[in-house]
Amino acid sequence: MAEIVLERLSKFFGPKRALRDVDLRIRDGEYLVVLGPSGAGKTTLLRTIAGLLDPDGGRILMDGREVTRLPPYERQVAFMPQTYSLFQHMSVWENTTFSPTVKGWPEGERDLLAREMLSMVHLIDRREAFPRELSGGMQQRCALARALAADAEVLLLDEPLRALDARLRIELRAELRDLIRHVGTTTIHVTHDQEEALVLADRIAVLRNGELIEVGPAEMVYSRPSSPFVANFLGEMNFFEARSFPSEGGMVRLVAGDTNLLAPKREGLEGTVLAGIRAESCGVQAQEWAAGQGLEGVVKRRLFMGRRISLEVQTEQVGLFKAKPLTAQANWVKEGDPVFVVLPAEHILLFPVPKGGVAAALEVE
Amino acid sequence: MGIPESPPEANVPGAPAHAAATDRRARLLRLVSTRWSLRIWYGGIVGFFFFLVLLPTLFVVGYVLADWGSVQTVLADPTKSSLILPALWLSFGVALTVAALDLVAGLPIAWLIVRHDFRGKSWFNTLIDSPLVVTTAGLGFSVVLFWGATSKITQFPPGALGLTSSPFLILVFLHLTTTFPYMVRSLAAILEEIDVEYENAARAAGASRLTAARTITLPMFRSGMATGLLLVLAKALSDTGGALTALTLIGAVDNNVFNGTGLIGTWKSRVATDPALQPALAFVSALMIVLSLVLLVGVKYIAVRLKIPLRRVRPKVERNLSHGAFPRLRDIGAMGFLVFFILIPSFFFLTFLAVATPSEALDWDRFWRAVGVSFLIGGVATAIDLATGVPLAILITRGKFRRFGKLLDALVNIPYIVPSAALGISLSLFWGSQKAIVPSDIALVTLAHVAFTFPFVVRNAVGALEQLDSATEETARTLGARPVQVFQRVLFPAIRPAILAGSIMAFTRSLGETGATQAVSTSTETIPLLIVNLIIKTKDYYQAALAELVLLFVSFAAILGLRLVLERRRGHG
Repeated sequence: MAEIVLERLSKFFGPKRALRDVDLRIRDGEYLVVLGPSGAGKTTLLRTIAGLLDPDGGRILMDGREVTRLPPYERQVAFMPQTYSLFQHMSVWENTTFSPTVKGWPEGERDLLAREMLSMVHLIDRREAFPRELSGGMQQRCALARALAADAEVLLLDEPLRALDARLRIELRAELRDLIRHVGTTTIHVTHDQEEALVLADRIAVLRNGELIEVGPAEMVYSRPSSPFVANFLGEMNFFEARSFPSEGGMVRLVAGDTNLLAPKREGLEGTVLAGIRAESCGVQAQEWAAGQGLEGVVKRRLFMGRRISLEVQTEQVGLFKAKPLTAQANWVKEGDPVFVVLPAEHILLFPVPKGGVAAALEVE
Repeated sequence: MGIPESPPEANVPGAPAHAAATDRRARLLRLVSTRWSLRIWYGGIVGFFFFLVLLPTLFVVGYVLADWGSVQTVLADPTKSSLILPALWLSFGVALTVAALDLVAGLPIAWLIVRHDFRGKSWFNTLIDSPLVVTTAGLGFSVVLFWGATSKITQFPPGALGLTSSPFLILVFLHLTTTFPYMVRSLAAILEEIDVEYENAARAAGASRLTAARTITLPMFRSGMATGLLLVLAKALSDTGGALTALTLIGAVDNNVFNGTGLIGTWKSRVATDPALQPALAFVSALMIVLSLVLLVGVKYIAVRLKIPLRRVRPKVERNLSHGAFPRLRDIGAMGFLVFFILIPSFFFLTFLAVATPSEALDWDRFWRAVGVSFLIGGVATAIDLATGVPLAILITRGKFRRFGKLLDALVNIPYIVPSAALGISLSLFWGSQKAIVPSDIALVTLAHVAFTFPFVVRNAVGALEQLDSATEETARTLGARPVQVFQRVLFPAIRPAILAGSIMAFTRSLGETGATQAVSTSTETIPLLIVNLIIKTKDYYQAALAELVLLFVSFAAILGLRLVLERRRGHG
């Protein structure tokens, strides 16, 4: 177990800057998820920590010991790549004992550890099997057992669930979390799937274009994101510009066209602001029954998604607006219906108006 | 090395010797895993390649340029210069003709092997490869026996055709047998890689079988064709023993008609008595080296840019050609070619054993000595190929400097495409003044064999390494494996089959070589040289055929043995 500190870590690929001065402290035993779109530098970050890439600037410390220039085999890390890279010519048992063997452990200790890890991932009965004989889920668990048996201080997981089909992914998500919590290894897990990040993480670090733009506990990052980009990346958002006026009880009054809306106040924001609300936080009502604050509009498109219904509503004040109410509450809505979109005050987020426009602020490189 | 790692102490009471050994091993492992020792190791490998393989191969070109004056005396002497142009034509003209024929006939057979399943397929595969086991000198004898009209052979077995005495045709027939397996193998290897789904998609979109194959699959394996063509050209250009045997038997040598390597071989055997031939020898060698390099670049260039006519599709014609008589005729034609032009001519010499009156018994001592020398040279050369070729392949595919890797990758082909007789001349000129470094003829011959067999191991290893996801090694490294351990436990086991295939190719190529051996040393008698000498010098055809037959068994046994040894080790690995 170890605390990892990254100091102004940067990495170039030719002229392209893959990591920009990343500062990050990962606590001992913490499960940190690095979230970001493809090409944000997530894998580069992981590979740099593993020692597979040399950074062009900055330092990496593990428990205060600098490891920036150490080769991978002297770092006490265990890296699990997207495709697992199980050694095809070795059995499950040989894969699991690989790390202790190359590190020259006594056989007794090695076997004890490998046996325990394989029992934990329920593969002890398949220890003679070869990777190609295993299902996708088993391969994933075998790779995990191999990484854990390295007895590394840090576990680096690169999209560990990506290669699995949707149901299995959700099943193994919980299993992965319990297992690693049980072992207690400091873990850095990289993904582009925000749901996976929210479920697994003690803290989420959001990476965009090589830059670390936000770090915080999962719920905090979800409900109080610091930028429109992070807000949108963690769940589909509606954005509109509004003028804000002081109000009572820690609230502000927003004016957009002829509509007045209340929203929680955010310190330091005045005048014109960018307001945002998640599509799934918006409810829908028939216009004649309208209550609370919201916007009137006409349903342009309706998509049935199972538990929720996805609606695109044309409003006069802020244009096209997306709402994803629960099916149970909105199954009566048809395309062409006039509706009232409810915007609960506590779910409205405020941001400064981005200089380059909203589209640029949300752009995924 | 920064901080020394601290593995859990080995707590084995009463086993201090064991612990000491483990400790020593760990220290050794640490030493060979430092960045510096790796750098020195790789530097040594690259140095080996440049100074012991590449430079000696190309040395003769510089030698000729530096001594242009004596070349001019050669050119002024019509008894020598008049032989050169026809010889080059016989080498390059024949090689190009053979390459074209191989391509046309090899395509349907490769297709058959890859896209069809039939009983006895592995036997069929072995059958296609079988001519490789006969030495080219033996093939030269066998081909002339089958096709040739000559007065040199008095006892023709029944079935001999006696069709031609044209040196060009005889050489084409000869080299079809020596090269066809290479073409089929490289085409099949690439075809195997191409997903049949592309063709299915084209056919689902309404294309006929022929249209789909022609417009979709064929353009995808240009690179396979280039590899096949280069292998065939190199083999046909390099052959000395077969060509010299065939040309002698057909009576062409008596009329002073040679191919390039035959000319080199003949002049080399006379240079001891006629030193004036030395510059002529160097000149022809340099010329062949330069021309084959031009060919190498040309084939690569054409393969990339070649446009197989795609635009015009005649749906009706192609549909009609896609089923019914045409495909059957094509397959029958290809099979007929295989049997009639490759298999029968290759093994026709066996019939000679049945009809010929046995001459005096073969000198078995001499035979087994030659076998020993051949296996020694082939074995040592293959071992050197492995020790240097595999690290070079790693450097090419996994090195930090991509461009340098690509350059190395291209340069590796040079010793391969260069005719081995010319390579031998170059090599002996290069080492000629440095007897102190290479003490014996056999060592020098081995070096020559390393030069032209080296590319087989490197090519195969590079191919396998490119297939292997580098994440596999990276994972091993993060799991605590040092570079040496990554190689030993992860990389090598994964590419072992490809290395095995490359070693077998290198070994058999060395066993069959005549030209380079002859060009380097006149005293070393390897098995193919023994057969050449029996046929050309003493005209003991019966003994030659007998030696060839025994050699067939020895070679099969050797390949089988090698396979067994390497596969058993795999079981332990």
